[in-house]
Amino acid sequence: MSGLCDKHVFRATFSETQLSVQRFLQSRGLSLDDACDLLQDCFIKLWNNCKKVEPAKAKAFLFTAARNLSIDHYRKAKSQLKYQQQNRQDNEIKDGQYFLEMDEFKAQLEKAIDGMTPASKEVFLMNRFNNMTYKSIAQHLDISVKAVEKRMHKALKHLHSQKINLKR
Amino acid sequence: MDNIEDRLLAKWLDGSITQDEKVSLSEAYDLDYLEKLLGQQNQFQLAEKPESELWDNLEPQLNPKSSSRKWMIYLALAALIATLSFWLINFKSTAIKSKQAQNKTYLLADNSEVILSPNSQIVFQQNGFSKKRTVELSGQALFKVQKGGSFIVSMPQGKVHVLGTSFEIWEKGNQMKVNCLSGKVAVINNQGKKVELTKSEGVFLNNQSFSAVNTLDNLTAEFLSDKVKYQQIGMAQFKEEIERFYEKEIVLKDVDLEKSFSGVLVLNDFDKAISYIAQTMNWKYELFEQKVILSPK
Repeated sequence: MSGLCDKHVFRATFSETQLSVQRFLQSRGLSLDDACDLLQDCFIKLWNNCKKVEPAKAKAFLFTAARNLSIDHYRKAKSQLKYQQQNRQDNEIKDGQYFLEMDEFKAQLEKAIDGMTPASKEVFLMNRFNNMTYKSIAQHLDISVKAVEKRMHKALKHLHSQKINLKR
Repeated sequence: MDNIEDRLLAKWLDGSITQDEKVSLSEAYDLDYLEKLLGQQNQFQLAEKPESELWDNLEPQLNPKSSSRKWMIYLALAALIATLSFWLINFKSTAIKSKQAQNKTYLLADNSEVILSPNSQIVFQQNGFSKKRTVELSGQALFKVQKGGSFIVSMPQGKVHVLGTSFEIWEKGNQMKVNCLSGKVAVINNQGKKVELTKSEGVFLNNQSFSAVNTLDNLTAEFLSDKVKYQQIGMAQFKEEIERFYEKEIVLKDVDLEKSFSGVLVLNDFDKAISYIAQTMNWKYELFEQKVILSPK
């Protein structure tokens, strides 16, 4: 047995990648609990394919799996929760992935981020909270770097327009 | 314009922006404000669950790798193949069949001889035959059985227990006939009723009821002699019997199929056989090369 099928190698890969997968899922608008559930599914998928995936490609495999699983997740949620649509606004805020420090700045920042379009919000969170470069965001979302620039621009424009009170 | 701004903001974020570009960008944005804002945002992180907790949840779900599952499948397949081949080798039935208008002689594993009359068949298990001598017969055959343990011929209508002997059996529809040519045989119908035959005795079984034991004219199997006797055989079955011995098509025109035939079928001489049947039944007949049409007068 070699590569990812070796439990030690798999464990090491888990340590290296789990946080960025977790953040990636959160940046796609999932709550922490949902993100951790899907994270688990991603790694089970990786384990079941451990023979086919080289350790160096594990991260790319995980992000693709995460992306597909989060799409499935939303598709399911959409059909299950139709009746909750009027509460959507609330849910989106509670769905808030980023439990920031409770102060005024945080509250305003949260509100500003929530006001972004989903596409911009996703890119913004990946770049600012997951420390991903434009290039790797583009790869993970399967869009062009130009599209990432555009979404990020929109996000920053929105943030700029919110006139958040800065902390002293 | 937007495209240029997209690019400039990206450059500004990663610090590769030139002084001129910065000036142009600051026309649209308060860059100092934005820088401070992002700087303060940087102090916050997304909530996360500790790695150890996640791993502890994950680990029990990682089954010892699928390779062992594959091995299980291979193992199960190998066992299945072994069982099947064992079954095929040990329990596979052998069938010996004779063609139309031809007898066939076959020597069984215990040296008992079977002569099959045309269109007849025996089925038996080759493996261990000497220990368990059982043969299924359809049609007609002469058995010359070697001495030994029990030798059983089974048929839909009943079975014959052989006690070291030679005997002839015929079966069709719900009828069966056994002629014992040497030694002793026991004939048992499906209701368990038994008739024992000794040398030169024959018995007829019709619809599970035995006829009286009759004495044979000679000690040759009927189908190996010049005629075969029938008692109240149905017309459709009798037609098949004639066709079994002669390679001709028998056409029964306007004949009442409910009627039965009792009498002999002459072997080895088709014209004679047909003329005898026609005489017995009060029929007329037309002979063609490959067929004969029989019809009431």
